[in-house]
Amino acid sequence: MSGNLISHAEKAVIEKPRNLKTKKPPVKRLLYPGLIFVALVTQIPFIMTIYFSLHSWNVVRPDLGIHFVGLANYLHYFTQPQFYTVLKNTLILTFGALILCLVLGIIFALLMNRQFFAKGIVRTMFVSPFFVMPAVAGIVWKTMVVNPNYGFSAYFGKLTHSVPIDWLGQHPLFIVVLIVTWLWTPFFMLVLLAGLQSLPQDLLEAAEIDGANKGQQLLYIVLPHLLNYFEVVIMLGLIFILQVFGEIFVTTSGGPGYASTNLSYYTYREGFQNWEIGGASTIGVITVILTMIVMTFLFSFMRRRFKEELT
Amino acid sequence: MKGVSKIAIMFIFLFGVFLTACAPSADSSGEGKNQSDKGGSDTTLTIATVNNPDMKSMQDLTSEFTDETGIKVNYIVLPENELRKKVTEDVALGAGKFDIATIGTYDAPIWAKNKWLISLDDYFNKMSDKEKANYDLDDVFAPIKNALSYNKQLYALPFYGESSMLYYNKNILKASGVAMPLHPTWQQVADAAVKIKEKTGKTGIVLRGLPGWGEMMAPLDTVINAFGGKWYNENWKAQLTNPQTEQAVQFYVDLLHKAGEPGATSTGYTEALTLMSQGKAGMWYDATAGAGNLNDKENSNIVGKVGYAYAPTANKKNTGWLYAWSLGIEKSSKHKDAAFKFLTWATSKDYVKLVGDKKGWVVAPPGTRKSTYDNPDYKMAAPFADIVRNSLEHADYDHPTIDPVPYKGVQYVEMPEFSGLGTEVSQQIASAISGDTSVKKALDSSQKLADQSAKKGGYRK
Repeated sequence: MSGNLISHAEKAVIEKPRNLKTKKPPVKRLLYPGLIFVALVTQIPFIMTIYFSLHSWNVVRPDLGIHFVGLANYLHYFTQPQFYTVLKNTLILTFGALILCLVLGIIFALLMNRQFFAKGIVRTMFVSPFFVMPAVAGIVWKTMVVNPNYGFSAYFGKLTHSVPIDWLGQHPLFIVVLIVTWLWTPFFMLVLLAGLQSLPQDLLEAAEIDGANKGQQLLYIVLPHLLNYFEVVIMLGLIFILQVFGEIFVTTSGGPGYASTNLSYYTYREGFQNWEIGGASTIGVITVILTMIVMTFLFSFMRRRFKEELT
Repeated sequence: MKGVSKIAIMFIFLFGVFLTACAPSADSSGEGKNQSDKGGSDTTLTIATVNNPDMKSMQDLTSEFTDETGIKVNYIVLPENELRKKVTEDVALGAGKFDIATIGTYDAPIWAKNKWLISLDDYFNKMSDKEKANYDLDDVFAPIKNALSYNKQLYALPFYGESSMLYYNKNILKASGVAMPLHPTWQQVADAAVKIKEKTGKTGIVLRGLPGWGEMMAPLDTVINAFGGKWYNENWKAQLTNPQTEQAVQFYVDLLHKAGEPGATSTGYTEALTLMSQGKAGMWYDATAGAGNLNDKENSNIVGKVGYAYAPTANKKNTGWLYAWSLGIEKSSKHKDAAFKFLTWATSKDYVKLVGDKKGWVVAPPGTRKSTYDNPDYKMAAPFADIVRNSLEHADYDHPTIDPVPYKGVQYVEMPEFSGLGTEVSQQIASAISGDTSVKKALDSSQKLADQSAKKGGYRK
């Protein structure tokens, strides 16, 4: 009897490993449909864009036809002075808005991280700019805020008896940076607020007991804790602000000249104003390459600088 | 049992998603029915149009058309710059979303050449004698018909036609002690504007500064023509840096700086009309189509105080421009017969009378038919009628400049690349208006662009 039991147990021991080996979950096979779908949907349009950028195609001149020109489109844009202005504008707009949003975002997040009367309403008001559509925000700013004939700035200008400044004509990029900051600060504020609220209070109390004042607490405990959140918010903010288009389209149309054109608006200008599909595709490809370079630099910098704090 | 119910729910969900994705769209089922139904009931025409006041009137009165013929009309309204782009995109890439496109005299010959519009001659020949007499194609102004034709065939019908003229606010001019002759020169206008600014502090003259080949470039081109400048010489070499062109552009920019409206680079036709009709400016040089709106009690504060003068001249007489917003039928339209019915309705004598009766004769569609200008009701309501009629009949569409040039068009250059080139050049000049650069530098950049366009388009051999 015991012999049978033992041999049964031995059998079970011998069989168990074999069962475990064959029962592995089919992870890779289940991932393939999703991977293939995403690859097709995102990469096919990009490959078509690269294909078009190698051709010369003017939509309003069907008599000229579509023909292969190799890298001539790229050469054409790199030798245009406007292209470098556009590049400079893109970098100024993106980093200007990003830095302003970060600073304002952390300030508002620190302010919102306490209890006070009507906190819910104030939070709703702070978050609402994020939900306004870029085109609507642009029109409101253009006709209500900065219009030199009818806007707020003209009203305050008249009160102080100064000539109303034509903001959109003299400082177009500055206004676009302001509009983008106004739209995106709530997003930065929310992410950083989430980070602040995940900070355990015991750490701050322990620091206080050890003699740290509020400023030192902020600098040595709160901000390092937030570094992960900074990384997330800078990455997302960078991707979205680099592509800003709607605000520019309804306010300045990229002008005067090229003073407020960024790469995405330049793509639109080439494609739908000059009707050069090849040219617009070229700018699109250059935008993607630029985005990848900027992001790589930014993250290697962050990794190196904050290696200890980031997990 | 648990596993089976989970799988069952998943399949039902997937099946539901599949059904939604495969449901036929509302348009396709409607269109299938319309193919066989040529009579017109249940046909819906899609028309792309500008948001000008005359088009808004047309939208309001479309119910009359639908009651008469049973054809419904779906309007897609866009601002001028965007409309041109959207319709060009639709027609050039063959999307076929619109049946009728609102196009201008600029677009009609280009689109006709590219075979994006259908010729209307066949449809006119098929009309009965009674219908032809009722429509009276000869009543339409000849220069406009000429501008809307290609290879002697008509491709669009004009909805309203315009030239350019000078408007002035009689009260403001009296307060500044300025008199305006009927045929002023640009120098007289500039002096008057400066005086108005000095004496009353108000804007002397409103001029478009919004970049766009159909926005700022339109009045600026007439000024270039007036001073003897031109875009290209007979060998298609760009002439934007030649002395007369530079003098003209410098004059325009200086006038805006000295006595123009603030925020000039954001001021297009709509904004300029608003400024003038609210009495914030002494003078306004722009399309004759604005006259109706300046006299409309609903929208204007200066009714009864408006003075009119011909487009200012300099070295050249007859500088008024020629333009007509017109309706054309896209080649890809599936309802061409219904579309032609709408075209002839919206451009007929009866329609002009309809607007006159329902909305007031002062806003009747101007500049298309001689009969409108012979109508006593219109002449009584529109004191500007004679100036408009004379400007239209004498517009120099075929010879816009003093020197001979290889192109046509008064306030634009009749070539497909101009929508891009004109806008780029106007952007450069907008930089000069806002003070970012000098007129000379702006014109140097523009010259390069114009030369590039001529070479790339194959005009310069």
